[in-house]
Amino acid sequence: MPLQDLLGYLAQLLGGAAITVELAFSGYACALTVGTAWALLRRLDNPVGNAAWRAYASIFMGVPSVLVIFLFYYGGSAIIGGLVGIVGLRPRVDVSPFAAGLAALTVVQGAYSAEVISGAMRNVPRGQFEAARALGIRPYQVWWYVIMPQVARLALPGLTNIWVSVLKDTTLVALAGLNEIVARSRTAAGATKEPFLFFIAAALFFIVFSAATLKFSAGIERRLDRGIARPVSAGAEA
Amino acid sequence: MKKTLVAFAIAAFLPTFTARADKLTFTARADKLTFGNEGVYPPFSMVDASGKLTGFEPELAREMCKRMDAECDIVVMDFKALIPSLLQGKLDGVVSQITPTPERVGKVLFSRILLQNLYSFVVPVNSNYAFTKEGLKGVKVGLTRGGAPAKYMVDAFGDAIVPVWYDNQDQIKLEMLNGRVDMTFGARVNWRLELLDKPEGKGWKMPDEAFWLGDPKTPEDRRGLSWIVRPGDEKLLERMNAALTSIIEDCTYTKLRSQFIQFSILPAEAHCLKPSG
Amino acid sequence: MKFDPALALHSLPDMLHGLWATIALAASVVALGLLIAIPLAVARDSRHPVLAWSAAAYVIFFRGTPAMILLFFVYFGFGQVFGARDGFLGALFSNAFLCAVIGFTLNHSSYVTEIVRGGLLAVPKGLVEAAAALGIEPRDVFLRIRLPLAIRYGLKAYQNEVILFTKATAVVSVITVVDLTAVANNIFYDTYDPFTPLLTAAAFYWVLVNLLRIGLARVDAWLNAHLKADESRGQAIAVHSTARAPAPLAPLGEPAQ
Repeated sequence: MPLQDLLGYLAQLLGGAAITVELAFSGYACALTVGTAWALLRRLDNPVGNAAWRAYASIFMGVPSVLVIFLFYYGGSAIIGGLVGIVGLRPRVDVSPFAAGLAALTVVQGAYSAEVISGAMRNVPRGQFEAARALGIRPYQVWWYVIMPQVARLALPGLTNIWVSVLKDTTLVALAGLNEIVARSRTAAGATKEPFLFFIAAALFFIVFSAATLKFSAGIERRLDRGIARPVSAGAEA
Repeated sequence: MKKTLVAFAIAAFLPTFTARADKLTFTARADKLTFGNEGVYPPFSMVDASGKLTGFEPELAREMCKRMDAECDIVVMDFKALIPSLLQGKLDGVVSQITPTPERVGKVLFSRILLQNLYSFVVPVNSNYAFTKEGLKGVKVGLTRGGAPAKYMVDAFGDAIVPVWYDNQDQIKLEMLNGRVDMTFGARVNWRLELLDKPEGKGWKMPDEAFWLGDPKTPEDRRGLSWIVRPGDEKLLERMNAALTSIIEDCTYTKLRSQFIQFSILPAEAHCLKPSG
Repeated sequence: MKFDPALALHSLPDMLHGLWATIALAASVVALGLLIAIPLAVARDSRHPVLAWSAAAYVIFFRGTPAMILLFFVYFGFGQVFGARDGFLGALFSNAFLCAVIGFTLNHSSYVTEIVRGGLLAVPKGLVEAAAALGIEPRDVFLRIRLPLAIRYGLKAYQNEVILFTKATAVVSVITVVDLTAVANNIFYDTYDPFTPLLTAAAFYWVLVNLLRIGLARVDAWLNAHLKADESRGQAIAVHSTARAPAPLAPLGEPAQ
C-alpha cells in the first residue's frame, strides 16, 4: 500500500475529525440550552411542567441515542411536516445526517444536562436567594450574578461528563450516514487493509481531545472555585 | 465571568449558526437535482483515496445531467438508505442500479433499463453446496442490507441459513476472505470483476445458475436494472430517460462503460461494439 | 408518521430474538466488566509503579475511546490477524458476538474501574486506620470493610453506568451482531417504514431500561436500608453522579475524572 494512499486516508480522517468536533460543539451548546430551560421549568414546580418533564426524561433517557438519531433522520421530514402542519404550513424540509445528529444530541443530552443543572440549582443554599433578596438585588440580577455562577460551579463536573458523552455520541451519527471520523476510519481500514493504524488513530483523536477538554474544564473549575472554602475531606473524620 | 460566558457561547454556537443550509437539510431546490448513489459497489461505484465518487454509474449520471441541462448533486449513502431517502424526498432519484422486484415496482418508478446484472451464489471453490434449505442449513451468508438478493435469500431459505448483514459489497468480500462468512449471493458482474478475476479470488467460484429477481414474466433480453424516482415524478423520469437513451445511442455509454468493464452489459449498446476478431 | 400495528405484531418474534441477543450481550459484559474492574481499581491505586501505570493506561485508553471504535478494533483488527487461523483465537475472533463482548467489556470495565476506585476512595480513612489498629489483616480490611463500603458509595454511579451501557449496546450491528436495533433496522430496510419498527424497538428498550432501573433501585434499597436516615451524604454523591460519571472523590466540588 503506497505511503501516498495511507497519508491520503489519514488526511481524510482529519476531515472527519473536523466534522466530529463541529457536531460535538453544536450539540453540546444546544443541549445545555435545552437543559437549562428544563431546569428552570422544573423550579416553577408547576404540575403540568413536572409531568412534561417526567415524560420527556423517561423517554429520552430510557431509549438508546442511536434509535433517536435514526428516528430523526428517517422520520425527520415527517415529524417536522407534522409539527409545522399544525400551523397550516407544508414545508419540504429534508433532514441531513448532521441535522438529525444535532437534534438527537440536543434532545437526549439536554435531558441529562437538565438533571445536572437542576441538581446544582437545588444545591445552591437557600440562604443565597434570601440574602440577595434581602439586599434588594433585583430578581434578574440575583440569577445572573449570584445564583448562576454558583450553579456553574456545582454543575461543572456533571457538565464536563456530559461534554465527553456528547463527543463520543457523535460517532453514533455515522450510522445515519454522517461521514465523520469513525466512518472514515472504517473506510480507510477496509481499503488499505490497515485496521490497527486507522482505528488507533481515531481512538487517539478522541482520547487526546477529551483529555484537552478535561484540562480546560479543570482550569474553569479553578477559576469558579475562587473564594470558596474547601470542605474538610470526609476521610479526616475519626 | 460574563466575558468568558459570552466567549464560550460564541465558540459553542458558531458551528450551529454558520451551518450552511445544505449541511442541515437536503432541501431539493427547483434548479438543482439531488441523486443518491451507493458509492461502494465496484466496478459500478467507488470512492477513491481523494474522496472523489467515481465508477460507471456516477460517470453515467454526470453525463446524463449534462444532457438534461441540470445541475446535479450526487450524494453517497449506504444502499439500504437509498430507497427510504428517495421516498422521503431527501433525493430526487437514485442512480445506483435497482432490481425491479415486485415489492419495489409498486413503490417507485423505474427508468429504462441501463444494464444487465443477474445474481448468483459465490461459494468456496472446493464446496459442493446443494442450494436447498437442507443443503444450506447453518451456512453463513453475507448479504447487503436492503438489497434484492438479500430479500430473496431470506424469503427462499428462511431460517435455514444464517444471514450476516453488511452495508456493502466490499465489506462482504473482506469477510469472505477472512473466513467469517461461508458464501454470498450477489451480482454476477461485480463478483466476477472484483473477486473471481483477481488473485485473491482463487479460492472461490460462481456456479453458472443466474437468478433474475424481477418479474418472471419479463422477457430475457429485457431483464435489466434501472435507476428510480418517486411516483409522481414522471416528468423527471422522462427527461432522464431521454438523456440516457441518447447516451446509449451515440455510444457514449459504451465509452464510459469500457473504462470500468471490458464486456458489454446491455443489449442496446450492441451497435457500438466493435466486432471481435 | 404512521404506526402500523399489523407490522409491529408480525415482527414481534424477530424482535424478541433481537431483544434476547441484546440482553445476553449486556449481561455478559456487565458480569465480566465487574470481575475485571475490581482488581484493576486496586491496581490503579497500587504503590507498584508498573501496576499503577498499566491500569491507568488501560482506563485512559478504553474509557476515552468511543465504543464503536473498540468494536471495530476487535472485530476488524484482531479479526484480521487471528480470524483466519485455526484454534481458539481463530474461533474467538471469528465470532461476531464474542468480539462484541470483548470490545464492550474493554469499554465498560474501564468506567466501572473508576467507579470502584471512587468508591474505595470515599471510604473514610478513619475506618481503615481503626481497622488496622485493631490488628485486622490487610486482606480482610479490604474485603470486609473497604469493598462493601465502596459498593455502597459507588452504587448510584454504577447503576447509571449499567443502564447507559445497556443502551449503548444498540450499535453492535456495525459488527454484524443481530440485536434488537439490528432487527428493527432490517424490518425498516425491507418495508421502507421507519416508524413502526423503530418505535417498537424503542418501546422494548424503554421497558428493559425501566426494569433495570427498578431492579437496581431494589438492590440499592436493600443495601442501604440502614442509611435511610443519613440522606445528606447520599445527596452530595448524587449531584455528581451523572452520565457515565464515576463516583466522586470525597471533597465536594472536585470534578469526577
